Amino acid sequence: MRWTAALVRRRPGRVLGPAAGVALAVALLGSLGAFIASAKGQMTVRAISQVSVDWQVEVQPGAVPAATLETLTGRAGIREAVPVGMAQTSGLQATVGGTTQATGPGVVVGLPDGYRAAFPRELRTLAGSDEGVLLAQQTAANLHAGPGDTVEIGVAGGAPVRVVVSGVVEAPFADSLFQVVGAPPGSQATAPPDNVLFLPLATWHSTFDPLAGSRPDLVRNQIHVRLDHALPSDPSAAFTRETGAARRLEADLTGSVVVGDNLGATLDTARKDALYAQVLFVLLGAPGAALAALLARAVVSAGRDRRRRELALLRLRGASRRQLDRLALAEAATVGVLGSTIGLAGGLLVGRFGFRSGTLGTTTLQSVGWAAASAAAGMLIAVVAVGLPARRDSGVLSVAAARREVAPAGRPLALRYGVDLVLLAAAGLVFWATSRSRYSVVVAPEGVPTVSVSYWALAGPLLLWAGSGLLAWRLSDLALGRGGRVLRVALRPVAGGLAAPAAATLGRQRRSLAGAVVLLSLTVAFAISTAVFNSTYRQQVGVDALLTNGAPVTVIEPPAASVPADRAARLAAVPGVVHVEAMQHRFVYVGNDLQDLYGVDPATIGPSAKLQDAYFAGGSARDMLNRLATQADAALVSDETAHDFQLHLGDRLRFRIRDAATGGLVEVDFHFAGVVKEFPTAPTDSFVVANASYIARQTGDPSPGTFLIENGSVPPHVLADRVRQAVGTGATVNDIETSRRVVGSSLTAVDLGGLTRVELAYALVLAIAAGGLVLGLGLSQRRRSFAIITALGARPRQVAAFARSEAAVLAIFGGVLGALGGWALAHMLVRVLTGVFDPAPTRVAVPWGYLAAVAVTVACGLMAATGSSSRATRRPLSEELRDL
Amino acid sequence: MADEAEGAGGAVVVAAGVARTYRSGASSVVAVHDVTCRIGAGDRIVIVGPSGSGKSTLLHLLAGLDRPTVGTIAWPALGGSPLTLRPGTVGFVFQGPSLVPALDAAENVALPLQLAGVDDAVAMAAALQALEQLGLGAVARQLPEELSGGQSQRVAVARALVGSPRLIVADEPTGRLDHAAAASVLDALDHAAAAVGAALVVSTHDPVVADRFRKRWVMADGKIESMGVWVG
Repeated sequence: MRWTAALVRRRPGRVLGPAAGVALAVALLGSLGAFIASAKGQMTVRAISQVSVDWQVEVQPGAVPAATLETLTGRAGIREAVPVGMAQTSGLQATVGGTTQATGPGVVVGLPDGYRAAFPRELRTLAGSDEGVLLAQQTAANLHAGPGDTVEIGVAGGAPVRVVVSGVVEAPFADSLFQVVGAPPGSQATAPPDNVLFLPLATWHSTFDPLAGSRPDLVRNQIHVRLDHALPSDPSAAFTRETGAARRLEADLTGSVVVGDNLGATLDTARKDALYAQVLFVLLGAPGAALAALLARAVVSAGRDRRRRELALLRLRGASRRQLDRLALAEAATVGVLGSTIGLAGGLLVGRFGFRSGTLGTTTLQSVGWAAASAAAGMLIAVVAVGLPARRDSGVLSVAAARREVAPAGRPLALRYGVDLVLLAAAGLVFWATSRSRYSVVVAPEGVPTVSVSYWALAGPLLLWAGSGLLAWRLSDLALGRGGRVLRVALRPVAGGLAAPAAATLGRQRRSLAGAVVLLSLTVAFAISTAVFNSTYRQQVGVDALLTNGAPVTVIEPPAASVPADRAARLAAVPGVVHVEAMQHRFVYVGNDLQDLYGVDPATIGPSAKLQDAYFAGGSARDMLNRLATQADAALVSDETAHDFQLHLGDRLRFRIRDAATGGLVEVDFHFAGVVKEFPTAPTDSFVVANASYIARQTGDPSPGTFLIENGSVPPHVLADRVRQAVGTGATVNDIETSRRVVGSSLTAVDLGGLTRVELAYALVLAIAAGGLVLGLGLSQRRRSFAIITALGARPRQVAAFARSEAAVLAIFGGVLGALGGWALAHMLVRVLTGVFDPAPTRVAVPWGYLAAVAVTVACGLMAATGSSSRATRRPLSEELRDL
Repeated sequence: MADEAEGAGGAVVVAAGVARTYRSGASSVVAVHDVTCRIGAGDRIVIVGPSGSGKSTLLHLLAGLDRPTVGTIAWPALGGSPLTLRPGTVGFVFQGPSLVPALDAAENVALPLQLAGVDDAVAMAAALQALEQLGLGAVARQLPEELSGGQSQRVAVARALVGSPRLIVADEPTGRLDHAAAASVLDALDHAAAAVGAALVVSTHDPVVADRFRKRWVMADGKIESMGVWVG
């Protein structure tokens, strides 16, 4: 204790230096824990907010719906339960404007009074009233019907029922609303029904109750449930509790109900995203913590000579090896406790300001566990970085041996056995194995409670990182050891006439210099790969939002609306609008399947909608637009359509589209020109993209249905408000900022801004430390040499030439090799973590500004270290010599 | 030591009323005070005194490695040159190990010449010749840590002599050596000084070493208590 207390009092730098390195590692681990806690909490909240109806409880044949409803209403955890009817109609028919339109089979939904209030997001009114008989948007378009029109509902085996339409609605959650409850994953319908009508529940009962008796297979009774959402913030825990409650309900009601668990399905996706967050932690946090450990080690190494002398003196004065070991352990423990305490406090602060998370976990137990794990990591680093070298040094018997400044010759074991090459080869193999076919890092089978992460795939980037660091060691060792002549020539610009002794010095100190090179190259690689990954991530978040919204601001006209001819011109006149791209939106029958049809101008849509190559298969975005431009009747269809119909390029397609003049469907010929996977504003299932001019000619209707608006410098939500005022209430106006908040089934929906800031700031700090501090510490070890050189008549600039040479070697080997390693690592990371991105990036985004900041920071650190070494030589020489 | 040429030439160093005080926070230590002396070309002087008497500080001052806090020092025979150990002016042999650890023996000896702007090849040739003259040709490519104490000190002597200095200052050059090695180092210094007609100033508290010199300055408490030959 006395030794430790004296150490802290007399040699605070010896304790504080390594403690700072430990604190850096613990702070990173702690703040990443805060990020994961925050991200997981966000994911759960998001998942809950994305669901409109938590449970669709389907009453099984033989059970009494009213009794089931009563049971559910009184059950704990259920906030609201309302009955809903669903029945198959043989078809819908409407006579509007003298023409009669009919549809194929569809679904008629019975909604009780107050349903819209209980589940406000389930339906969105596009025209007419919120209550009464409501037509789905697509059905209204098919029937050419709107509020006030009469629709005839076909009932199997019975007389049709006529109802008057009150409004037109959109069902944003149609996929879940019309799910086959209880059907195993994968056997659900690929798309919701095309024809849908909503009736007041009383009307629905009077229409379909007779059918329930004769054809019970065509009628279903459901109870839509809203839960109280008191769930754990961890998506996995929330999923487990929530699905457990659903299964318990089924068990309690002994088979009389099956639960369609929409909330569980969404949490299922969220827990997968949570695992990706964990993966990000491993990939970004582990190297950062390792770097901090290396840094602590470097700081310890810098004071090694003095410590060795002290320990050797203690041995000479009778201290036993065991006593010295205890001193080493006490020093490591002091460094570990101090560093961990500071690091945890730092981690909490970073979490509070970076991620708005005041804890290190989602629960108290998790927070305590995470803090303990971070502190344990800190203690481990302290033992490895401080304790082990001190223990080794305690074996040094003589003060003379302790003064040795030149590291022993011979290559380190790792290089002698080619560990660097083995690691790089292993990284290549793992990458090859994990990047081919559809390998996924996170495996979360739908509906299965367990999820797993293939940490094996993460080994690729980590092996590459470690291998590139060791390779930098090998190359610098080789160049400094055997490239004397070349080194002399290369150093002439910085060392002038002292290039020869400078090169000789560097060659003999290559072991310690190589350590600094490795640390700098690893730091630069970490900074570059982190920055590129984060930048690519941000890029894809933008692409995702753009894909969903189509443009910074989008105007969508209601179906069958008559769009004024000057709509585009009026939108272009709105202050802040830079460009308006008009796009047709129709519905087209591809065989019996009703799909969305987008009519575009291939000359202008590319840049306006910022089409990505990833949106298409078999060619780039430019290729596909060229095909549309050169062939008027060219059509791009979905992969599924191309597969179902066994299409080959150039095949003739015959679609049925509504004709403007007759209102009926006409057959229009197209030619298959390629596969489109995604398109702005398009649904995720099948759709068709073709030339707007050709569609207009064939249907006699040139009117566009969607306007994509470029915003320039005006914020999208501000411009959206202006556009709303211009178009009135008839059209829907969306902006990309709102979309960005709303969309997201994947991790891209999680705000990684805080993580990005922390990671990048951390990489910068490490870059300064690895560049300036390590060089500075190395140079301070050579104070003795510099003092001797000064005593021999060297001027400060001549002493600085030695320091400059060292800095140049460090910058070139550490910087250049680190940059190459970082570039490779960034590409590998993006490839391995493809699942994080939605859509997958076609190219990585390089944040040049940040990388320039890293380069400048490293350069400044090196220059500061060089400058401080030359300043030290300006002390009176006798004082300098006396200190040595 | 041969003293035939002592005082025959002009003054190499002239110190008048010199004092050197070291400050550390509020306290200060007077290492040397009230020193007035003259060293002529070809002088052979030994400075003796107990540890802490100011010998090293005085040598640093005389060699121009340090500045006096009071008084003046001039080097008339060296062109009045300021603080420097440039080749042809002052050669200094330090008390402890003073070789640059990362340079081999030849590179250490060549370094003062390279610092003075001498071409690498010329400097290296001169260094090898200096080492040969001291019987160290065989260890020219060895690192300091591979040399014995005596060899290291003789390499340091070679480095001090390689530029043919007019003043050679050696601060306890034999302090860590056995008698045989010490004799070898002193012989080397003596011969080198004689060869170029340089003044030689050596500090020691070893009576055997001191006995080799006829001109003896005795230091105590930072002052020169007595001088075997007064140089006024």
